[in-house]
Amino acid sequence: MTSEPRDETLARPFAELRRADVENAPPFDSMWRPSARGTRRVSPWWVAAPAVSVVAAAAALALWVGLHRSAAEAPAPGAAVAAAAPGLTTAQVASGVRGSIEPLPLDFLLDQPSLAAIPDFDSLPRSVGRP
Amino acid sequence: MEGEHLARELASLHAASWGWALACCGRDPSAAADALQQAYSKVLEGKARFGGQAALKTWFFSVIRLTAMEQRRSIVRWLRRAPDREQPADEAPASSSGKPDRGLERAEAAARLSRALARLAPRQREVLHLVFYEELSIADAATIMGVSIGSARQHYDRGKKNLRDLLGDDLRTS
Repeated sequence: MTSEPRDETLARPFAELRRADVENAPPFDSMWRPSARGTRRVSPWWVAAPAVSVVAAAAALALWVGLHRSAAEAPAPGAAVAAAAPGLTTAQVASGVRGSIEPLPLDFLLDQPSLAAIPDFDSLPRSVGRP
Repeated sequence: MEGEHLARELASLHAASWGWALACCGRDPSAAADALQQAYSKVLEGKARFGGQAALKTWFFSVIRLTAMEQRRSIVRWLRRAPDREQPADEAPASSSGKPDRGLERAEAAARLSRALARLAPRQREVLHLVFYEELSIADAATIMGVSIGSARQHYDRGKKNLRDLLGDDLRTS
């Protein structure tokens, strides 16, 4: 499109430079074929992403299995009480547990006059708290 | 364009591509080899695709130019080093045609031009190389350089004037 009139005085040294460069040019095959054989660099993400996924999946599976196993092995609260104290009422077990707890220095903060007025569950009329 | 066909086309352009890679890398042969190989890799890996909008040579020269820029961050860095660097032409054997004086003369002329080009502004050096060395039109040079034709023409005119001043007597005596 835009062809300039040849400036021979400048074109000549460029032609000399080109000739010198061509003589020293590395062969095409040595530059093209190594990359064609697959010297391409593998992005670290191609290795890291699947590895992280596998580790995350294994951790999730281990967690899931652990949770299910502990849930299956855990005894029902009622069964534990019954096994620990056969023949006792819930109130008796509760008072026994309460008595075995060592008082702490700040326990008095939990003492409220109204708590002393709470009636024992077993002494309540049968209609209270029952459907 | 199919792989085999593209490879053949690029092989036919290899000498010109090598010259352009040298120009883009401040005439450092190892940097130019790296840039050219990277450019070939981009083509092979499909990172650079020839769409057919421009001539293959114009397109591939753009790839080389961008690759060299990515690789070296700045052509200017190489330009500043170029005058102190021994030119490959200086190391070339005197001549393969049995005329040692003529061969030496050529090598010296090439080295002088190389040093003069290194003192030009990068854009001026690029456009002069593309027009005189690669024998492309200013329009093609503008496409490769990613500038308008008007801008390329300005760089061309200023570059020619500056190069003449730098070469001075060498041009008159050659």
